[in-house]
Amino acid sequence: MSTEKLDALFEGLVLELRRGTIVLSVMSQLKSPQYGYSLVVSLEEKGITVDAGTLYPLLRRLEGQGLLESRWDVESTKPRKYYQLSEAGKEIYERLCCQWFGIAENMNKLINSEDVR
Amino acid sequence: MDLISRYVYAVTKGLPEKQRGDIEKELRTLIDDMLEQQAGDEAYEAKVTKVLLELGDPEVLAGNYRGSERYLIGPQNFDNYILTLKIVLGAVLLGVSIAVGIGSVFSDRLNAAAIFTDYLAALFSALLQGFAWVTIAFAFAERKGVELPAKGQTKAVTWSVSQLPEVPEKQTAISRTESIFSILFTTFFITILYVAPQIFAVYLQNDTTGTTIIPIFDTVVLRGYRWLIAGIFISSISKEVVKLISGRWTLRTSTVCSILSAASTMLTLLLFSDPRIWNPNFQAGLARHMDLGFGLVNSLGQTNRGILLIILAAGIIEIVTVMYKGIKYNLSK
Repeated sequence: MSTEKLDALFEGLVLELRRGTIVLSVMSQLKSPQYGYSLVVSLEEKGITVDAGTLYPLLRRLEGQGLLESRWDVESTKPRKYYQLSEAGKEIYERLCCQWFGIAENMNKLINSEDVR
Repeated sequence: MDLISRYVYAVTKGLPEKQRGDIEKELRTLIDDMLEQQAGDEAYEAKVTKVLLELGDPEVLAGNYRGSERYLIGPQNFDNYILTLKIVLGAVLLGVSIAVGIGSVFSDRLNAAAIFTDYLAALFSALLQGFAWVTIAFAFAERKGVELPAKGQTKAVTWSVSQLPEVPEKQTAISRTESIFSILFTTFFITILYVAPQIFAVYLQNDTTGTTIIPIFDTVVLRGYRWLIAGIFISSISKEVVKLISGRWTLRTSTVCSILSAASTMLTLLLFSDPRIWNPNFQAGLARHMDLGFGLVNSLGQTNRGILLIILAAGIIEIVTVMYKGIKYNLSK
């Protein structure tokens, strides 16, 4: 297989791997209210890259599912929509975290640093 | 600013009306925020271009906002839709051609151009109706999610083996051929009834007077009932579409089919309950030309009642059969 093809395949798989973690990453940052772009920046600072084009619709979806609450802040110069975990969201977040620790632990048993040359 | 407006418009134009304003506001703020993050001393325009490129294809962004795809007629039903469309449009073409053909043979006008114009006009409106009603029937089936295994699986919270659709046995499978013939016949018959009811007639050959035509229906009265005829067509075709999509008898299929059967029976009864749709001179004409000695004159009311009873009986028999199939299959599990 050519290097480009291999790279493209790899990129796709990385994307898939990350996709599953986006919701958890986003929820982890919403214990206090944040607006979309501040979330992009704070996640970026912590090494998690999420494009705004993915994040904004995701926030809306989570709000629609009742996991987030939002309010428009119109007092500042630019209208901003602040999102925060709802009560249901907090509960789901905790349960997701437990799942995550379980998955991480098991994955670490499956793969180990010796697999990486 | 112009580029930003165009970008925002490109994203929001395909989104639901009530979300549009909200999304537009948040996108503008987002773009503004991203612009502020752009260090460097490039021109404003260059920064805007860079930010918009970072946000990516507006179509993709709109797709993200939209979430799951929605269809008028989904991929799982599309092949059946095309099949039904071909049958219906084919039958309409045949029906109109025969109707206009026979009509023109027995009409006094022998103006080929006028007949051809009539033919095209009738064909156009009939094809358009056929297309519209088939599409509506399928869209209805799509909305109601009539027996779509793929959809059901995603909806079910916990999936169990018992949810696996049974491979249809011979008795529970709905014959596609039967449905196709049904659609063909219904379309053909109703097209003629709609376009040229005058060709339903008794054609009497006589050596001295030539051919005498005694129409069965009063075409003027029947024309007033076109909406009813269209209604009968829609309910009949919808029923066959449901059967085609489902492919086997389940309680749900049976129920939907029964409701549609009831609807078409009721509409047919409504149509035939008006005795004025019959040609009032039919019996007199028949008697005159066939030298019938016995009295036909008083039997008009009786004939009409008889026809209504036949329609009602046929409708009830169909509903009972369909429900029986659905229930029997469901209990045997």
